[in-house]
Amino acid sequence: MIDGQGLDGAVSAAKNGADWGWTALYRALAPTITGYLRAQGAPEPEDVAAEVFIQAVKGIDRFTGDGTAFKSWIFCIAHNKLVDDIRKRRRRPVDLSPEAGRDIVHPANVEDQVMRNLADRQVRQIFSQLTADQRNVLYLRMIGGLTLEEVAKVLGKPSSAIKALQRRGLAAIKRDLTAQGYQVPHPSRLPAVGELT
Amino acid sequence: MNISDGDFDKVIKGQPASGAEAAEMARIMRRLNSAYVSPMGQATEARHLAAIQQANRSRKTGTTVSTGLTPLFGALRSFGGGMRRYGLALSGSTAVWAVVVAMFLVTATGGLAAAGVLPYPLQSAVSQAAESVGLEVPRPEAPVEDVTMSDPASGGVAVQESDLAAQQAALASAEQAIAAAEQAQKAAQEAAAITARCIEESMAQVSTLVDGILTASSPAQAQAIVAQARNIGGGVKSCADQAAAAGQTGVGRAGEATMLAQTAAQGAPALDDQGRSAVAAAEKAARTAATSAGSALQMSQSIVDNVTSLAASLVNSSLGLQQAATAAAPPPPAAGTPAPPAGGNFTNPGAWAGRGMDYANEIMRSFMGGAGRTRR
Repeated sequence: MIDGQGLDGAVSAAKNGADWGWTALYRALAPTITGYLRAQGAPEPEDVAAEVFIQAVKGIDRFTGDGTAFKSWIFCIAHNKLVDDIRKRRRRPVDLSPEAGRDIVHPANVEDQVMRNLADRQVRQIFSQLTADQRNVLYLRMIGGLTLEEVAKVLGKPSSAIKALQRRGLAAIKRDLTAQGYQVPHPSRLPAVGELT
Repeated sequence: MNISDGDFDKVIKGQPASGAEAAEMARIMRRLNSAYVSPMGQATEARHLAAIQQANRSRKTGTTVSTGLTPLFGALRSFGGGMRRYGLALSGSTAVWAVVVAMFLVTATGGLAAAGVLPYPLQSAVSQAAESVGLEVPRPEAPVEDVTMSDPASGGVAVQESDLAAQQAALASAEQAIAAAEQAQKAAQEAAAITARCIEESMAQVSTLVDGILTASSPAQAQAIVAQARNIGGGVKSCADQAAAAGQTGVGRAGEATMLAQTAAQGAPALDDQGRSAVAAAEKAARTAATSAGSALQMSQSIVDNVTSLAASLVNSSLGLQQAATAAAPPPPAAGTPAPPAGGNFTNPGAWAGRGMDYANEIMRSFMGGAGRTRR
């Protein structure tokens, strides 16, 4: 997860028009922005992500803030672009469900690929049960790595509403896991989160 | 998932969190990222970076796609800079500013347009403008073509000598209609140009004024700002009146063109193909001119309404600013004591700054009031 504070120098350079600043920002943020767009069902997430960066280049003069603020800002651009895109596609209906997100091609062997795809499908299934608002919040938090306050800015809602959506989303995930017969293992049999790879 | 907000935050940050729920959430998060997030491919990254760097170069050199609205957007952007400094930021792209302008422009006739009672060209123009900002305004019914041009050949009507005068009159009317339509188009263009200039100039002046309010540090500067506010109020009103006058001229000439075209159409059945083509061209020119002039008039009327409101606000604010300047100025010297040197600073700068900020915000809100008053 990219920490916005690590982007301060790159943001400053980008504001001054240095190409290296944009390259650094792109390399740091493009994968997660693309991931967010892909999770939301954008048909060409990589190209939309490039458009998001180009829009950021055009608007950087109006941006003020550090790396953390830049991260929220660019996710805000991405989310707005996504909403516009969905609005346009409503006129030409296509499958917008998270299931429509394309499979990621991993450079592993076939068996590993199959197992990954199964796991990916399970997680997509879990999130597809959420409402669009809950998904927006949890995707921005879990893929984008944004804080509650940053998500509130991106979605234009109060932090309290974002917190409520997050809680309801997490409760829905638990319900879904329970319905599938999944039991959370006893803590003693689990490693601490920090030890997980 | 009975995970606390704090533990969920830790999971998001990849920090250790206790409990099975947190561990399970961490697993789901890893899986989610595995499903959707992957490094950009080398070719994709190279293509994207080339496009981004190209955009960056264009930004540095100030290259923009030339459109007729570019100067207007430039002014809007500079105005936006002023607004952001005073806590009235309207973040977003040029498109956002375009929306603000469009809302600003549709305000004056918004109520009538919402009722669908404007004349066809106005209703049509308002509908299109409103749709661009996501508002629903009834689209006008297209006017029924009330001119039919029968084919004289099918009716076997021979052109008689007595018809000659009527034919000549019809052609003359068509010619005059086209000339009037051309004048209407020119007036519409002039109204649009004045309207754009009016917005640009008033925004630049207001931006300068607001800058001045917040940077004034002496009674002399404050007095100059008060005078400036009054002058700007009068100036923008005059500019808006000119735009409205040009719009009125355009609509008047378009009306003439329409009447002449109708006169020409009455004589059209007696004309040959070439004559009827001329009449049809006149009718088309008159319709186009009516649409353009109607749209220009609507724009200029909106400007008059909004700018009048701004001018009133500036005059009102100047009174408040006058009081704030007096409150912040050094007290008058007591009898028998020497007068303080001219050009000294405020002894109570807080009194000016606090009220100055209020009035700066009021002026800004007044200027952007069109958006707030737009009706659905």
